[in-house]
Amino acid sequence: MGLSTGIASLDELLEGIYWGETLVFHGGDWSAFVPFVEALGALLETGLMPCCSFCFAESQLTRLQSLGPFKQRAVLAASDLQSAQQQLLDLISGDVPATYLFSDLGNAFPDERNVVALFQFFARRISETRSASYVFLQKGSVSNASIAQIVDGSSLFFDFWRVDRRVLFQPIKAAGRYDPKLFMPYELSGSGIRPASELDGESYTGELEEKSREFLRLYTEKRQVENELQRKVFELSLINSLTASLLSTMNLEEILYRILVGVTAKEGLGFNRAFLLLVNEREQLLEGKMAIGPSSLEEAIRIWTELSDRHLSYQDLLAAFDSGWPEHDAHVNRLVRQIRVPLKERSHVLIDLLMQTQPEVIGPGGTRSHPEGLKILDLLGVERSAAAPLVYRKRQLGLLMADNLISHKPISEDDLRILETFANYASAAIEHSRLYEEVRLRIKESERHIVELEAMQNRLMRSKKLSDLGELASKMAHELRTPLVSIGGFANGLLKRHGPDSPDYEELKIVVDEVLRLEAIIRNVLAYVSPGIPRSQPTDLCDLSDKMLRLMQGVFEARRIEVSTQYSNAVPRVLVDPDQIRLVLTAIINNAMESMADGGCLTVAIHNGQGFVRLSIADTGAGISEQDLGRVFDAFFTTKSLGSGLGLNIASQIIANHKGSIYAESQVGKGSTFFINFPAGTHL
Amino acid sequence: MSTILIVDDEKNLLRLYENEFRLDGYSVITANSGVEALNKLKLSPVNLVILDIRMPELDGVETLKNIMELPSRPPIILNSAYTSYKDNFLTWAAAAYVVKSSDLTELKAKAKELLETRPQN
Repeated sequence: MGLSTGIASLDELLEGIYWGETLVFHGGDWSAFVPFVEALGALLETGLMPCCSFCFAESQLTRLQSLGPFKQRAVLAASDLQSAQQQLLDLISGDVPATYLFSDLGNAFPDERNVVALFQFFARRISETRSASYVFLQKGSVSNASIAQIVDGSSLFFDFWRVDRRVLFQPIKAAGRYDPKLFMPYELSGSGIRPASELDGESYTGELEEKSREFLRLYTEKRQVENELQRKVFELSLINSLTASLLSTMNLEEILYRILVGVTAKEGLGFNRAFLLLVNEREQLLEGKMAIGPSSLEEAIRIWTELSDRHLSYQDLLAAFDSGWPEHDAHVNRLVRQIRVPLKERSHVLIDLLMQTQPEVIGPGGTRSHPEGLKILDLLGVERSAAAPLVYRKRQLGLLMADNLISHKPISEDDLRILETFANYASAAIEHSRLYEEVRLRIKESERHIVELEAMQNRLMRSKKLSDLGELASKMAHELRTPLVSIGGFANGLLKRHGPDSPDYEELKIVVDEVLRLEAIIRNVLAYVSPGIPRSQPTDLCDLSDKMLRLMQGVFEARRIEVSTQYSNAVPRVLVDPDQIRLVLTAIINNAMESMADGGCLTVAIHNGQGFVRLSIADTGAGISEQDLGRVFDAFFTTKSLGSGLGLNIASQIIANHKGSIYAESQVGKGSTFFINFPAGTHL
Repeated sequence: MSTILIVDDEKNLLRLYENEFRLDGYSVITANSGVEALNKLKLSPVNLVILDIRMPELDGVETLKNIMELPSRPPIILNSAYTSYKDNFLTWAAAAYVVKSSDLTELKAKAKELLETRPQN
């Protein structure tokens, strides 16, 4: 029952085992040996093989029924190498050709080096005795390196494996003389050994077909996964380089430019043109900001030729921002700036898109093709455009639009998806730049505040110093008064008693006059230093001004100063202390006269303002330099050789006490104008 | 003959005023402080008080208040180196406010005016 075929094929396969040779079987699994050993047993039973056969095994092999012809002897239970070798010598001695079948040596000797040593020894003895032997090794129990060492010139090694329920084997190493077909895979079965490829035609074909279908399916899946992975890798590296470029600046304009370059560059998303529209929160508008792209095929060809001629890379394009861009894309920039859509126009296609979370294609075949959308496309002069909302943390920042005007390449789902990814990064970059700008402005503002605060503090300190000085002056003036009264009083008494005929009269008169002069000075100083609380009453400023100017008529004439007045009709009365205001006007007019040493014009104007009455006094004098203008109201500030430098300071104090304001404008060589604003109304 | 009480903490001023008013024919009493003035007012009748304001202890304003409470209530001329007391309404009870000056004309004029318009006790 098929034994002969089995034997024949085994015989054929091995072309007969030559005496003096060792076959080493290298198996993956013990069960793989069984069919082979069974076939071998059958072969030995035929008596074609040398009469004496031994099986040295103590594993499962010894329990196999088919090993009947073998003289079984367990020798490999020896614990050490030397006794194992001795036992082998005992076995192999004598002239009787015999076949030896050994179970797994690797299993019996845990130490790989022992297995190798045993093999070498064994193989030598076998070749001397011209017997044949079969040795099984479990795959993995002896390393390939060790197998290589065992080469003795005539050994045959096999690889065994199982597929489903079939056992296959293939010679993996053989010395010299074997037929090439030896190295084909073979199948071992109860019916014998045959080349695996000749395995039962029909079912094999079926199986093969199924296998190949499955393989094809797996292969397709694998390709898909690979493609997906490759695209992801590409996208990631693209996004990475684009993002790096976005993050390399905080300048919003430059970021916008970089976004557009990213969308249009060949190394980037590769669209023909790109447009950026941003939300203007102040005006509640979506407005076109910036665009990149050729306006016509001719321009496109010119640009692209230029790019490839000059080998301009993405990085070069980015650098172009500094050098003369955006004149280059004037046309598209003009187009995009025409887009201004109020945010409240919810039905407008751009506003609608802005509120979306995903990019869409507008135009025929796209998700939006209503007339509104087409109007925008008309403006941009393109059939179809992709639009991705720029959203950052649920805040709509704008729209990123891209089209293929020149190439007419359709916008694919993939294009939209990568546009969306890029839009996300772009949004973050825009928002970051905005935040950065905001922080920068805040810092600038704080710095300005600090400077203002410092200036204010300086002013305060100066005014404190001045007020301390004023207090000191006031105290001194008062204290001086009493002794002056004594001096002058007694001198006066003496003067009266002695009469004009006294030889001391002249000198006493000098004392009296000088004391009077000192007292006058003190009165002036005190008036300047502490003008006192205004005793306000409803006052007609025009009347007050007219009366003063009339009183001073003589002085004006002497100084060749022409005086004119410009009063509004019906200037309301204001609540002021007329005495103090007279002092203020005197100070300003004195100042004006000083500046008009060679004569000039003095104009007093009084006008109604919103909530105030403004009085101004203009002269055509020398004017005040910008530097001095800020200090004219400071105490003791004077550019005149005469004068106390207190006049304008006291004037500003008085006006402050009246809750009014005073300031001056001046042009050197043309003259100065002093303005006083009085609060309107006659009620406190 | 009218009697004038002159109150000032400056001895030189007292002497000047005493000389001048005596020469003008008034009877003059002087006091170096507000307290002394009040004491003297209780001892003898006075037709007019010339009162300094800045004085140690009892100042002119306080003295003025005390004098106003006396049954005689002589008129008072406040005589100060400071104008600022004019803003203090407590000084408004005085008959006149004359700022100190080596020229005594104003002071003398006020004194004369007050003594003439006021009935003598």
